Amino acid sequence: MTGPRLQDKVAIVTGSGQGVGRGIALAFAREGASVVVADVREESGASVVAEIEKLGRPARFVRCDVTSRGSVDAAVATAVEAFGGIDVLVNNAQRAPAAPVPLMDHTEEIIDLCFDSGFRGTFHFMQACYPYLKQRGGRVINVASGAGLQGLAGQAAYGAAKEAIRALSKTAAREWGPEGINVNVLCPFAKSPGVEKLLELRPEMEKHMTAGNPIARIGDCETDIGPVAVFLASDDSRYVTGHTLPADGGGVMVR
Amino acid sequence: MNRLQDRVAIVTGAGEGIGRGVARALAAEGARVVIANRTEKTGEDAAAAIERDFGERGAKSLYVKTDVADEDSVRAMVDSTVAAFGRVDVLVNNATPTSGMARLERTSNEAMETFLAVNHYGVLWGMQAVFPHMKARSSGRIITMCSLNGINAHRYSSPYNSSKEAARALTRTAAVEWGRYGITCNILCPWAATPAWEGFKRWDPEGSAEIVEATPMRRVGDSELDVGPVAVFLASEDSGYVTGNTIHVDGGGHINGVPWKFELPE
Repeated sequence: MTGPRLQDKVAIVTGSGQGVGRGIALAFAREGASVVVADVREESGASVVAEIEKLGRPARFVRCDVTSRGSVDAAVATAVEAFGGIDVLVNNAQRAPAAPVPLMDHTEEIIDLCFDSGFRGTFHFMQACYPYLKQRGGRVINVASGAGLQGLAGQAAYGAAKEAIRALSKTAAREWGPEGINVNVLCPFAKSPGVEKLLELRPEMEKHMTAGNPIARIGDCETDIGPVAVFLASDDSRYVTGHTLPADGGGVMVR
Repeated sequence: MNRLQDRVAIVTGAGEGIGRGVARALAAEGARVVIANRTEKTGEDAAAAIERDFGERGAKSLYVKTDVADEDSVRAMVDSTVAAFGRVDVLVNNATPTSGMARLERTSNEAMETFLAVNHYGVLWGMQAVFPHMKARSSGRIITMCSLNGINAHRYSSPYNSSKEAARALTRTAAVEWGRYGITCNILCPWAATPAWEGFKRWDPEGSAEIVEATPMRRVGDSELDVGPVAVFLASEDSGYVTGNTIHVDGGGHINGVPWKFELPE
């Protein structure tokens, strides 16, 4: 094999102004992709674009509220106009309460927060990108979580939204497989700003997070999670679809 | 790119089928590959073909006659590898018996033992033998080939199913115990056009066609081009934070399982 593995591919990464999304966007750029950074946060989104451009790859920031189909359609139109099509869609954007909330304290607002950003955002982007992905044998990578896989306490709405994304991904893998679109789920565990904030609020949780973990450390967004997303975006995984791949140091073993 | 430059990999059962495809994919990324195979002819041929096809990229391949069901032979396989190449970075547990179908109530101890010897003990001995070498470098990759047959309990293949699930349990346990030494251990469940699949197609043409049709990607994979690159991922630096996982490389067949519906008479 020669050359970068995502040479001239066009990727949209939602929520890539920071954390896991940023790590994936940078890893894609290092492998030759052009990256659309879709985020509601303008300042951080623009700074990730600057980082990618420093790597010598084209990038474009689009301000996008994934909860709104209109905003998603506009983002996809901008991406297509800028780069001529879409090869890879990474649905990473997700909001959630900063700290765990017991099930009985969950409100409608918390449920909406998790499902509107995570589930609906993923759904909107998949529908909006489908015609373009179909043209180029595209890839969808949806980000889910060990919180859903394991049913973590205090993560009811977040975990449920993530499991809903996993169900959606498997259905899409079945429906779109014959059209050459692979749909997979990535469950990362990494020191994102979300995890950092949680550790600030509950420092005692770090021990729990790493004690039972075979690799015994919290992953790095760019160097641990990024390459796994590259694998799922590249030709190397062309016969892998409908799959859930944790990149979590062995924290969760699916099935 | 040479993502496995200077790495040394052992692939058991690499004389044909998925093992051969995986060995070739690893070699194409610059690895030196030991073909550990019981049958000399296919093993020697696989090693020679690798040097012929990938030699100019620096690939080297060595055939080591190995009976995975024999503990001494498995330990000798690892010793020969280290003697020839100085190290071992990757172990691919791929060798497996294949045999006819039988109803559970008629499954013999002999059939069960044949499968357990390779898929349970052979995998255990291989992992034990590479462990000190990997631990010494604080780095290693173990990849065990398992099967949807075991995970979904396909009918009439209980020795295969249970021995493959035993291999999966061993590999996941190794992931938990050896993660601290930088050794990752993952399982790959492939579906590809192997000699075993070709045999099944001849035996049940309709059923095999139905399985292809029920697979989201509507085709049978290729050992080298579809399964190989996933093994490369698991063998490379890219998967350093991925361990204990079971990766299905089957065109999506695992999502709902494959229609494994044929009947055997009582």
